[in-house]
Amino acid sequence: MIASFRQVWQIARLTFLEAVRQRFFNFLILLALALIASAGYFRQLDFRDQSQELRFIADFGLGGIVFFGSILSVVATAQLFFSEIENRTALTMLAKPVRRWSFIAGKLLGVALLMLVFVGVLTTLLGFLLWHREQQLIAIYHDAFIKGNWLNEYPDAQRVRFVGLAVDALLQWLKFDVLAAITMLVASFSNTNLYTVVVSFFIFLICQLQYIAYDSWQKISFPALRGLVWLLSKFFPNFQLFAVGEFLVFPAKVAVPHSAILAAVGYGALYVVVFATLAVSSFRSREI
Amino acid sequence: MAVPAIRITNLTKDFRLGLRGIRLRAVDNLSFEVADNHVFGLLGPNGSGKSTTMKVILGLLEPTLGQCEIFGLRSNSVEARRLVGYLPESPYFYRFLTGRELVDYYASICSVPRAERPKRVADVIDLVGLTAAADRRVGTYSKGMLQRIGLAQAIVHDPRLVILDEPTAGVDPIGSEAISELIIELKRRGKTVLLCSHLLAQVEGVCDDLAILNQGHLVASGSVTDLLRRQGQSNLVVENFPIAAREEIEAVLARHGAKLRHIDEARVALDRLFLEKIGPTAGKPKDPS
Amino acid sequence: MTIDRNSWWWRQGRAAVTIIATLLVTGIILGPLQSRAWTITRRNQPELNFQNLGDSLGQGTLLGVLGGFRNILADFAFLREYTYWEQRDQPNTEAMLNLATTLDPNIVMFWTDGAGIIAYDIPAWYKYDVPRPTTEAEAKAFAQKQTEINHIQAQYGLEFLDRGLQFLPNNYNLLQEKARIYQNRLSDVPGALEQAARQYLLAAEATKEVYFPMRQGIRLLWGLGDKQHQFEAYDYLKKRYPTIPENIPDAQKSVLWDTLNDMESALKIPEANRAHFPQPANYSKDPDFSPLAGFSPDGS
Repeated sequence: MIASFRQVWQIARLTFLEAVRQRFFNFLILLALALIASAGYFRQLDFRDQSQELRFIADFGLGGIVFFGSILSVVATAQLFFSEIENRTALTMLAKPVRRWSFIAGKLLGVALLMLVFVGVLTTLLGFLLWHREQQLIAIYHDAFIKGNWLNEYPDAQRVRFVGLAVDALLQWLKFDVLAAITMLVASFSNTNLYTVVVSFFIFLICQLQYIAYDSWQKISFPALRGLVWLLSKFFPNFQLFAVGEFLVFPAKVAVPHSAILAAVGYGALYVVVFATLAVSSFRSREI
Repeated sequence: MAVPAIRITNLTKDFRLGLRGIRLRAVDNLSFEVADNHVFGLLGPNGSGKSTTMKVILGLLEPTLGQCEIFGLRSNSVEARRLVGYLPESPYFYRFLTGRELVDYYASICSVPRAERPKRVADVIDLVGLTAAADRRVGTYSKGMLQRIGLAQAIVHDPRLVILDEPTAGVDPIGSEAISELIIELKRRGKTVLLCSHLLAQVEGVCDDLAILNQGHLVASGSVTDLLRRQGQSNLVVENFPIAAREEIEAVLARHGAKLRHIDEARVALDRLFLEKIGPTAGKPKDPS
Repeated sequence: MTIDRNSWWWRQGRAAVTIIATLLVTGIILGPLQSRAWTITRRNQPELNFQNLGDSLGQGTLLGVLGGFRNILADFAFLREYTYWEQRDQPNTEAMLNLATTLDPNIVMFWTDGAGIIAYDIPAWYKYDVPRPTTEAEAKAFAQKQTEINHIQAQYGLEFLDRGLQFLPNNYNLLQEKARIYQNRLSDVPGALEQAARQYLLAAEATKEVYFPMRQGIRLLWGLGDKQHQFEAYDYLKKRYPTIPENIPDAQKSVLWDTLNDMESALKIPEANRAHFPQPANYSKDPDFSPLAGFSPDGS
């Protein structure tokens, strides 16, 4: 078993090294960095309420991470899997004493490492931009920030909660891992890269909308439709659970409690395991 | 009796084509054995079922019927794959790794102990003659070098059975000769080698046994010597053959119940000539035998 | 009928059933976790609450599909709105404002800025759409039309803010903005100043740390002139006065103390019924400033 875990780590390491050399990854991360960095120039806009400027920057950054991260998660997973099949390095690997679950787990772990780097780099840049601008605002509105008058005048004004930013980064990384596991499941029985990417994005959209089925099935009177909507609400994970970045970075009057965050983390982690297990099961019977 | 390296019994493999379920029978009721410490050639035209057979041996495909064993173990078991090293056809490896890193990577995958790994890697790289290029990226390797590094990764974990799929495809005659010598060296070290190749001259030169497949069926198998022997015929190599002596020779042979079929000029094989002129021994005195 | 368990159909069917069943069971088992996390997430995102499926399939689909990316799109829409605003393009300006607030209704600035543009800026564009009046009759018609447009846009602005209050209930900024629109853009409409006063006082109740709306609401109520409203203003101030801190200059406790005294004098409150709050410790009176200046007891 230890040997298997060692193999998983070796495969993951090589998958990660291969991924960071891909032009697509480098292009995407540069694009995301540029988008986040550009948010720093929006101070020229007339934000009547200076606290909203920080929110604007945070929106840009978090949105960029979500958008580009979702794309990278799907495309990288599909690409890294099918490159092994097409180049027949999978043949060489699976002819070794490597279990198929080790291969899949290694690939997924490699993608998870890639997404960790991606989210880490972007979140660090965003955090720096927010901190830098916040320091500038404190310097300008020192009394207001420090003595509390700011809050008296603008009750919505809030300082950036960097711990919340880090927690949101973790949640986004977890969501990307679930998406990668879904992509791996599709790839395990798919014949082409393109099909895998298209179907995975389609499933991603469904997961984004799952909350409608989850909230609505009880309000449907027609039994067949009610049952179908209930099934849909159970079948796919709810990706909206992870869309809490703005409330973690700028806690609302009712903050997101730790139990909700832990529940979301557990939810995401379990779905990663489930989809990965299904991918292994499907890949076992795939003829290479 | 020694356990054969490979035992294939009544192997049949069907592939399903399209949604209508049309079946393609790639291998049909195939049975043969590969003896331990032999070099075995698996021959056949394109589409004969060689690759399918090889994938079943490697555990990459499940047989539709029949079974395959490697040293008595089911071929699709992890334990069996520990005993096997595989060099694929036209190998593609991770271009960003150096030769040494690549072999080390596969050594770790195959659970070669960490303490032994550096020496083992160095040894196999030396065996395949790539020590000088071991620290260059694989992406800079020539075709022949790729084949050799591929062979190195196949044997780094000291398998008992080595499977080589077209190891000399696209390789020049010098490289091809080097690979042939490596195969012989592997046999000398006690390994069994299964060789798939279209280069019949090479197969004839290194293999002890062979099997010929056609359209999924076994059409011939046995030792090379037995298969290639022309029953009832012998070759004589004669120096300074005088044409005038032909009648006398025919008469002598007739008295013994033999018949001279034809007289040809002795020819050296083209690859032999090439190696003599260009290979590593070019310019050196020839061995009179 | 015998089933060939080695057939492709059987094997694929078994794989599909395995996947479906596993995901279904997983969804059921993880139901409590999802419920725990989703209840709180949804509470913080009121735009994701829908009354019925019909509501959801319109706006909800858009929001859901965009997911965490909708905030950045809302920001882009808001930036785009600026360019239309510069061009005095009313339809596109309003469209971008609606899009921004639909995508991210949690941003107060979208609502307050948007309401300001709708109620103040767009009416001012009218003069660019018509020729300058040259006669007295034309000037009169222009003024009449301008007033009509002002009122219409002010109403739109109020409706816009009411929509915002659905997502940000009791938000001080939105309430104050409503009050300003009533006060500045509808002051000639009967009842508007009273509405302004009420909105100011609602804003004051929404956030007790801000004091300007309270003062403004009291002044406007008093300024309506009738005794009922003036007593209402006096009662409100008397109730709030003890909660006003002395150490925050913005609270202007000294001014409020003077205001209370002036109200009691103006309303001829009997001595025994007066509040008799102690003078603030840092009391200072500006002789040139009267708290109720411009708001005489009879409302003139």
